[in-house]
Amino acid sequence: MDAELEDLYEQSFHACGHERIELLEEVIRRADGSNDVELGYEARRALIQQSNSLGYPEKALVAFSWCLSRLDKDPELDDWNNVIWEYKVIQEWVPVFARVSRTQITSMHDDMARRLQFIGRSERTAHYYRSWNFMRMGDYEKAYKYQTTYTSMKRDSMSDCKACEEDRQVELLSRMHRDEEALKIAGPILSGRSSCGEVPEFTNAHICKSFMRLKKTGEAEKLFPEAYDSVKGEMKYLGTIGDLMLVPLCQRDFDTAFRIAKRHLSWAAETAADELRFRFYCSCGILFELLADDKPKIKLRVPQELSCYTEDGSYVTSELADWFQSETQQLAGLFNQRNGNDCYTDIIADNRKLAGV
Amino acid sequence: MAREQNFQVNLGGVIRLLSDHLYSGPEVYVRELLQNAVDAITARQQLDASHEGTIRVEIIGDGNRPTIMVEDDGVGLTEEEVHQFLATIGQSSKSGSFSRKDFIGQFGIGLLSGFVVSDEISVITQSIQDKAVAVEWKGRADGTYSVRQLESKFSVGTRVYLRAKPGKEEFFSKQRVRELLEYFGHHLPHRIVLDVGEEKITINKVAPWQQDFASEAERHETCLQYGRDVFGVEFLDAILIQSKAGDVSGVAFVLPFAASPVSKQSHRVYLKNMLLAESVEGLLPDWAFFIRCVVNANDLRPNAARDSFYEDDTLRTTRKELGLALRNYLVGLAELDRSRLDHLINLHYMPIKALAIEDDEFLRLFVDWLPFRTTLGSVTLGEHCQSNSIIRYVRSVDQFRQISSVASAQNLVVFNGGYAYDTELLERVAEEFPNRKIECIDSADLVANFQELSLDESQEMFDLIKLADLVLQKYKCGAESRKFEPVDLPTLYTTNESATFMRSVDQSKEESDELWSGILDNVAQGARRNAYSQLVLNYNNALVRKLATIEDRDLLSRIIEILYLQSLLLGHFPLANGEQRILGGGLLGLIELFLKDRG
Repeated sequence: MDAELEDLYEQSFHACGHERIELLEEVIRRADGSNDVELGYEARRALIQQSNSLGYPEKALVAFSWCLSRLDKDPELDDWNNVIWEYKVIQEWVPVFARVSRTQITSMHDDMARRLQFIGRSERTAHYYRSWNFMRMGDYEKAYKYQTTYTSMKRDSMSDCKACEEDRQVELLSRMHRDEEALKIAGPILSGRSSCGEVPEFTNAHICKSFMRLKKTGEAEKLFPEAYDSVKGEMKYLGTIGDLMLVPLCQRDFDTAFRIAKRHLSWAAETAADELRFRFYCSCGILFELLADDKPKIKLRVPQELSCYTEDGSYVTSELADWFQSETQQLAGLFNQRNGNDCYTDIIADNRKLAGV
Repeated sequence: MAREQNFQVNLGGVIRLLSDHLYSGPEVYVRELLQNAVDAITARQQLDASHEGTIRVEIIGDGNRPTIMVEDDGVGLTEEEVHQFLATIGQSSKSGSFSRKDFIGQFGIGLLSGFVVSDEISVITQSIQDKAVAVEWKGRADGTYSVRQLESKFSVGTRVYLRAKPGKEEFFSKQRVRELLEYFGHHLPHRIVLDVGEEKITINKVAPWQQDFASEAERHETCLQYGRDVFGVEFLDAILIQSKAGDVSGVAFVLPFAASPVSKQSHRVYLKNMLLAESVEGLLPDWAFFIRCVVNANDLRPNAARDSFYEDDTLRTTRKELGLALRNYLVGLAELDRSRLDHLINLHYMPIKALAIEDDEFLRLFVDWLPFRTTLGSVTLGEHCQSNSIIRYVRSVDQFRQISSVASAQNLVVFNGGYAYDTELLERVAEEFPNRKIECIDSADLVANFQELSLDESQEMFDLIKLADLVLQKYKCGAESRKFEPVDLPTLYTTNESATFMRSVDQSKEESDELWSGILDNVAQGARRNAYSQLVLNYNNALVRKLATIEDRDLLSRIIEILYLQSLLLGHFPLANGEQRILGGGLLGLIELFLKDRG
């Protein structure tokens, strides 16, 4: 490794946020340019982690597929246990891209199961992700079946932490509208006894939705400030932020909901994860629809990348609502087509009901 | 019928476990003995508020197998309590009628730590209860113990004797015991005396947050000196901080060097004035990575290993309150001491930017003083806004590198939003200062601002550009010609995030199997916007104009590819397989043509 490249790689360890992603991407470019496979591999592994943690799954996927095929060709490059651990995170992300087909997702499960078997682990982790991905694809019965399967199997070193597993169970039950059960499982998370790097951050939104469906809006309101505060800084939580917006919307607290929409619109333009954008747009559509009567015109700084952008930042509120709702419908259409069901249309209807529209 | 049985506990094994896994080292025996003494005094003070309490430590004999005696004038234990508390692992005298929150110890295993340095622990205790007789308890490392009543009456309190076991004598030397007493207990409110022969050494030192100061200057100097003593660092500043939640008081020190956001600062923490740990994380908000603290907490819950606190509501509120105290300090500097603030911003603009993103009011006050990297070097936002009505920025370091030489040649100020916090901060500025025009641009926008060619000039370049478009199509790159500075730059390769992303997708697809190649295609399909990059040929450059006169299309195609390759290499872009072939075919072809001409 030349000194300049070494220095650049070193810099990446001290950087944070998007800056670190860019530094790593540059290290990868230069390593590839000089055919330094080991550094290219190592930097990609770091890029996968950073991209996953910041919410750039498309970058993580591209880097991961390169690493996976390189490792298939040269197993000396890394320990399979490390790579399969990354594979788990990638499995979580893949279904959020509406254009990735159902067949590709299920083939990926089988691929992971084969690799788990290769390193002598049980299929529990593969079932765990089958449950997760079938939930994402709106096939709740199948997701629940796999949940029952994996929870009955013995945990191993590839299992996610207890808090993560509880989070997944809460989300599935909440999506199935089995809200009492969801809240029961969420008990340790709500009390702070069960937590990890992403729990309760992800879980709070599911809990709020369950609270609201059970008409415990006071509980949802109580949870909301801390819940939003914990996710407002990272783009990977954009979908969670969208779901949480339903709490102020239900209370007709337009100041809060508008502030959140305004603050995170640039992420909606930036993220490649369709599912996160879907959940955020869905709440934005409801917000502008509800606002339209009181404020027929509104000023808003919309990123240029969004097709509704106007240079002076003035919008007819009802047109803005139409735009967001049409984008939400379009994304729902893509997901429904991929999944072979109407789950995403149902989510829109459910969110509208929760917001009291 | 099943018979209930007790577990057989191997005390030696338990002690090894404690020593290896729970306690950080044998020296913590001093902490645990002090803790028991303090808790006994606290219990007595709950019966008699006027009782002050003293802990006396004596080292008896030195050299071969010295003994340490720790005596407190606390509440003492009755014989029944001795059986209950000293002989049952996990049982604590603090779990009874007294409120647990008043005590330091929580786990009832403190005395066991004595076995890490001693094979036998003797305790002589006289309870405060009227008719109690003095009791002696002797516990041995093999798990056996004996208790006997003593005939003589002792003063109320407890004496614990530990005789050094072979190999642990170093922990009983006068110097070491003094260091350990000071290390763990110098801020304790009860008098601690180390008694060695004729010499009586008082251990206590008052912490800065426990003192009253005659002047601000005295407070400042005392706190800075405390920082020097504790961390051996000449800090930039020291601030007294407090939080009602967790009942926390302490000193926050401003680091004298820039810290990275990924370097989490750890803090020295006392729990009820006894040292809990040297490096506790998570006490301050994430943005405060330029601060190290020494604090005492009376109402936070330590974990079992006693090296951090439970992440509960009290800790979260404490973190917020301490963050607010630091924020108020920065705001105070803005009002009263600009030169110190400027110095601080110079070093610590990163955490201040991190805070400004979270806190709109703080952002409004501070943002004009914060430095940003631009195509004209580092400038503060305020300096820029004095002479410019518009703030242009690019989102990534990559974009910045592509345009910086061209932009600075044209005196165009472009902010580099690729560094941590900068893009987010500028977007917050756009929200908070609607009268400031802020534009996110990319290299394509910059090219759009380059001077267009006249009709004649564009006619002159038409064939060259048309051919370049055709040649570069397979690399997903378009071509056009504009006039820009510097004139010695023949071409400018500009790309956008989508195009860069598509390059990485193509590269990974070259490696991947059918499944992953398909997944990548589908992911890219959603992410794709304008995925074409651009090669801009500089009409002001003499070489470029000369190219427009060459009629040999084969030669021209090779030159265009070489120019394309050169701009990729300048931008540190990896070469895809097709591009690598330019290196072979294109260059060799050019050399051949050159030699043919010469021949």
